[in-house]
Amino acid sequence: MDQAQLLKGVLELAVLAVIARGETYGYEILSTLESAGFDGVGDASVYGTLRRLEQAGHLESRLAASDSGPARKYYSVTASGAEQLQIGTETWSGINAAFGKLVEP
Amino acid sequence: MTRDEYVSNVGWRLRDLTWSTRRDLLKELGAHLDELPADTDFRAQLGPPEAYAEDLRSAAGLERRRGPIAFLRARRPVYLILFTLALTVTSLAIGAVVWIDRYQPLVYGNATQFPPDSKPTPGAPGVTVVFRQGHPFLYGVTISNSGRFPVRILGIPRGVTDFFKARLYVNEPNPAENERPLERFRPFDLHPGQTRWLVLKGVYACTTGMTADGGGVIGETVPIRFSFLWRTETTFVPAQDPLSITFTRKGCPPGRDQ
Repeated sequence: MDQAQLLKGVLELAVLAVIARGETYGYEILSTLESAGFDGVGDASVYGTLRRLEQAGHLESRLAASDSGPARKYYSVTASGAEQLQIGTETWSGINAAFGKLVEP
Repeated sequence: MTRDEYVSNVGWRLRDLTWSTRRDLLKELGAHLDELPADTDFRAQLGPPEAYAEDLRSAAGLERRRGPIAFLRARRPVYLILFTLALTVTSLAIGAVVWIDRYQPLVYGNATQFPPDSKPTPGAPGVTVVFRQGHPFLYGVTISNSGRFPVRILGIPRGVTDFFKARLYVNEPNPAENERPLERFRPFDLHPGQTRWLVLKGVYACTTGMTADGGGVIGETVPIRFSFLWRTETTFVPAQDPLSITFTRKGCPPGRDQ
């Protein structure tokens, strides 16, 4: 099964989880996701997800000057985003546990 | 493919989005590309621009927009404003030209002066006069400016039924009906609300080049040559009482008295 398709389903939650660790920007979010094993997800999908989460009010952003180039857009999780992350994490854990039972020998 | 080419290609594929959404997405894409190492092959790293645009659209939940409203919203507001301004100015200019081209404020001033020996036409409006070659002829009408802007009166052009030789005279604006001191016509400005007499004084003559058989009629409409701004034309002002000219003998051969 295509890993990218599997990851897309949980990408929103993963992005929220990365940002919940501290204010960060797009490129850093991508790098963190890749380090964590989400290397099959395209850059465009992450940026699109960021926009959707921001539009939904789960993220807020601010522009800050960067030493290496143009201003960066820093994201942080809102209260609604934190709640979404908590609900999503519980749901995901439930699915994970259920799936674990299915594949247990 | 350079950074700008990549951003531009993605932007082209998102051209249906609102201008502000596209601007935000492309700005973020540009910032992302700037974070990548200088020798990065953007196409290899991010995929083809069309695929990147589709992924971005899909992940952001941005549906493809169609129709005239979407077309307008995809334009940069300042361009829309400039375009609307240009359209308004052009429309106003066209409207002004059309209006100027149609502006014709001249109307009949409700008074006509007929030759002294004229008589009411039996069974028809107006008066009738018998053509007498070389005898004095006089015919006058009042014209008014019913519009909001002055026009320049240039004269009364000759018509095919002008069986007379006459000079045109004019009086001062808004005369009392019984006081009509006349002076030789010179082009003049007829201002809004003004009324003036235009009087033809001369003699009956066969000067039209037309062989009349039975007579002619003048005064149903009065041709007035006038100008307004860049426009010069002849308008035909409807008058109330036509003047019929009849002949005691058949015809009025052309050039007979020339």
